[in-house]
Amino acid sequence: MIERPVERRAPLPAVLGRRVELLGLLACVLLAVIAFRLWYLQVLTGRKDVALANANVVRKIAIPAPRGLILDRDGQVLAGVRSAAVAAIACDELPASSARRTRLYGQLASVLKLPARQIAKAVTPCDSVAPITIEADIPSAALIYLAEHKADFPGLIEEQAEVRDYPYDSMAAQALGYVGQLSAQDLATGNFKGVPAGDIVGQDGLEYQYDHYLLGTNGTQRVQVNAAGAPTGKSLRPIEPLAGDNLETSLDLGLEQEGMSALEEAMTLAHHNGYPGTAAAFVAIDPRNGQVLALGSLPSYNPNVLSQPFISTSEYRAQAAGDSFVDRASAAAFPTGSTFKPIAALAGLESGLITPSTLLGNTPADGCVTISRELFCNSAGADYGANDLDTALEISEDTYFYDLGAEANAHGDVIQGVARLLGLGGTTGLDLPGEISGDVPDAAWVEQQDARYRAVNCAHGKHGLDCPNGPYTWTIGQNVQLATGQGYLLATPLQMAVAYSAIANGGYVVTPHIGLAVETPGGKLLQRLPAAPRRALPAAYDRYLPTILAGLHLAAQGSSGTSDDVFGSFPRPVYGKTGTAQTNTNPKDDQSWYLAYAPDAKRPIVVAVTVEQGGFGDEAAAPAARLILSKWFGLPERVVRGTSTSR
Amino acid sequence: MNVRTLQPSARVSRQDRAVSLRARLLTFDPLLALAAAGLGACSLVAIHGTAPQYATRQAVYLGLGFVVMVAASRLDYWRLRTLKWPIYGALIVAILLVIALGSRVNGASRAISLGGVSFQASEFGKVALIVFLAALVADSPRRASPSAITLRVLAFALLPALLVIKEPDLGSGLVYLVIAFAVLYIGGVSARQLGMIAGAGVVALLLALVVAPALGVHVLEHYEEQRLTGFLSPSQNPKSYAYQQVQSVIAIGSGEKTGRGAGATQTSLGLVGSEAPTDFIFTVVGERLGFVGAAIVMSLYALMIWRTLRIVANAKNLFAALIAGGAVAMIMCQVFVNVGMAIGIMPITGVTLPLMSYGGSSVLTTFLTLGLLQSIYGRARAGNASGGRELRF
Repeated sequence: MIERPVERRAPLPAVLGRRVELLGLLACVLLAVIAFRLWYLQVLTGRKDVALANANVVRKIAIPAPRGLILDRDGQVLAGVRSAAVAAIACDELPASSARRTRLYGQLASVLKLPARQIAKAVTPCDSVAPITIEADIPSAALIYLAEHKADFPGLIEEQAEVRDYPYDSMAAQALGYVGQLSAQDLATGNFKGVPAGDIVGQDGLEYQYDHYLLGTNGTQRVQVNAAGAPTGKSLRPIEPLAGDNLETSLDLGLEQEGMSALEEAMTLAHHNGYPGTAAAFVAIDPRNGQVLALGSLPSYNPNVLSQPFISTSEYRAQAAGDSFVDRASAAAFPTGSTFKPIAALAGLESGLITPSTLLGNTPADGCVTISRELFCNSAGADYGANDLDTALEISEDTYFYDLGAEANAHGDVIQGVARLLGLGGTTGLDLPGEISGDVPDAAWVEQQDARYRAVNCAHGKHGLDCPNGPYTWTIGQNVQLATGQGYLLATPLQMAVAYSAIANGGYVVTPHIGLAVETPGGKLLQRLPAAPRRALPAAYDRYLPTILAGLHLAAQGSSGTSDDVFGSFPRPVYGKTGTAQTNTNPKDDQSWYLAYAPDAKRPIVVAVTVEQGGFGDEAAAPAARLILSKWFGLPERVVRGTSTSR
Repeated sequence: MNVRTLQPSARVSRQDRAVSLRARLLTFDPLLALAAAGLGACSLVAIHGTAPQYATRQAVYLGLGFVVMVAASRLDYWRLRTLKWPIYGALIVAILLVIALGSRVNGASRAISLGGVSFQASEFGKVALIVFLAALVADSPRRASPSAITLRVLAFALLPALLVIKEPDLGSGLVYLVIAFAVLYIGGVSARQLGMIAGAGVVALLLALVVAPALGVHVLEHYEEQRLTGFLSPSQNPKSYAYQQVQSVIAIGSGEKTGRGAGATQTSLGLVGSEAPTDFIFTVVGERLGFVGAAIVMSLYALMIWRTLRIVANAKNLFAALIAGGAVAMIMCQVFVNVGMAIGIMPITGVTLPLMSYGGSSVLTTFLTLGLLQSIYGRARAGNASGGRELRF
């Protein structure tokens, strides 16, 4: 057979057969790999994948747990929850492309009237299981628009949700605190272990302190999803969230409200007297056990505003104006002025430097005493002559305490020791974040401060005004200042209230506390929150406390008492002391103080009030203290102005 | 030449009929056709299960494809040799047209719409490239050095490959390169040269995936980079391709021995993306029909590959051997890359599973290729019957 000649027929390569065999071998190997892989996946380990596949059909959406309530001592709501229309972002439904996400944020921003940058920031990185709330209280028009254009906003959830509500706005804001989304920084602190990212947690105050009780446990909505990842409408039984537990506090709503308005009254009085009166604080505690009955600080902020998912910079600045986040009752310390005198007096008695009848403070020249060639004068140069202790407390005679301070200096830290024993110079143990310890100055303290100062200002051989020659050391003058609550002494109103409580309750230094108990959302008691035990002063003090109390009673209600014009007409016994602390040479900057104890068989109370740049204690702080006591004992609340210019 | 002329005239009438029937049957590989029909049926079952709305159209494509295969098997493939330049020209023009005015699907323009039917040029380009490269090699002057032929094949294959990668259709581009490699391999290019080409390919891939992105140059679309590298780092982001692959593996595993049938959820709930009827059709089979179904499908492919390799081995001339070699490479590459992706041992490249994946262009291209193979088979059988040389495989 002759093959038909074909034009330009190329020969078959000699290796063709072998190459086809190799290709066949390759196919066999690849088929074998696939077969083994399929056998492994489907026959050997398939069961595990069945479980995974079943779990996949449902998407889990976290249901935020409603936060527990913060209640006052009578069960009235101080921090509650309310229902609000919120917009949230579900991370796993956001568009994959960043350009589309940016566009989505832009559209959302224009509908919700929010800066797009803030939305992007809140959801980047978006890795939480719970939807991230981006706005609460959406206007109904925006809500309708979003509902109608659902397809244009992938990942957006708009729903009714329970949000934190503070019915009394700025009242006791520093004590209650506020809430916000758990941030990466919060997580880094380690204070929120086990809390899922994106949860709403306490950011300050009781909200922060007792967050683990208030938080609750998120529930899970299990939704079947379709090919587009959207719910099919078929829901499995959700795991209901467990609401947070309620916190019962020692605060008294009525007293709290009265205290806040009394502070405003005090600031108004200061303004009236020509003082700036920029800030004020008060705290009222039960002297028997340290329960905080009310606590307030002005300027304050509105936690409802702070707890919003978004807050603009200008809004934030307005809220933070005047250092409003600082609780001036426990987290700010001031020179105490004459409210310290009972402590100095106690030190004098206890150390045996004086007896109740020791006469001190004789003023040879113009109401002033000369100590170590330095002149120390009474307020306005008043000349009271030499007096015994009770009279000195009644009229708040500075020269008496100057003499005492000078005398005590020779015997070491007599005054300092008693001050520390009564709780000054250390935190009281209050259950709020941010409490500070203040300063009780002595020789060692001055040395330490000086060393610190020089380390900063005298480095590298610098000299000059900032770096004076020679070490700065403790002087007798500083002890003289200390005896009248001046100089370097710094104490918080709460520390002073604790010290006065110890004088009032027979010598027990209590640990102030606000949280009393934790109860279920239904009101069933779960746990009492134990306060640290009170600490007893040495038995010797029992003898001296009545003398101090007598002096304080005279000061408040004696005929020559510095605050008699305010408390003389008060129908109940009051033990009180004014304080006017000079913070510098400008009298406009004087810190106005009042410490008061009102005994009662059932509900005794110690109140501390202070007004920054408020003038004399009797002028601003004392009337506020009277308003608070009036409220506590159900007496008519009347502003009684004081005019005493004694410190 | 003719069998009949050798028969005694008295027995013509009966034997003539019997022989002509056998001859006609013999010009058509029934096993190859059976494999194709079986895969078509599996495709319909799988698509009906996951996306019933596509089942009717797929049935039409498969029916049309069978007609195309039969028609192509009757075609004298030899004549395609003379048409190599028009075929190549049409291939390039079609790809350019797609890039210029193609409809964009998922950000990629892969098809042009012609009267309501979208036409995916890169799919048809596969068979066009096979024919062209086979003709190019077969027509090379005997004096041409092997290296020159190799370079020509690579150059003519790289142009359309880069163009479709630009579309972007990375999967088809890679198939083009595999076809070119297969044509050189079957054409007898030395192992050393093949090794160098493979090495260059690996280097190019590394450059495109690792070096260039590190320098800020993105040779490939971002999603393609993610898909290629994603299977190395599974992700929890449902929008990512790596996640789809993880879900695909779970889906196949959950099919166990006999499949979940209508209880299948992974593929029907879109957890492996909207590409279940196309790129992830094997996942659907694995989940719904289990190991049994997957084994049947793989057996059908094994059958198809065996019959195709047999056609290569039995080819009577270089052109036929090269077409068949390119075709078997195309089928093998698509099957192993696509199935490998579904079972989590290969990256996601967007390669369709021949005859299984939903889509007219892919189905018709595969049937056209099978038709050409049948034509080669038939002519080789005819040659054998006439006493030609037979290569055994």
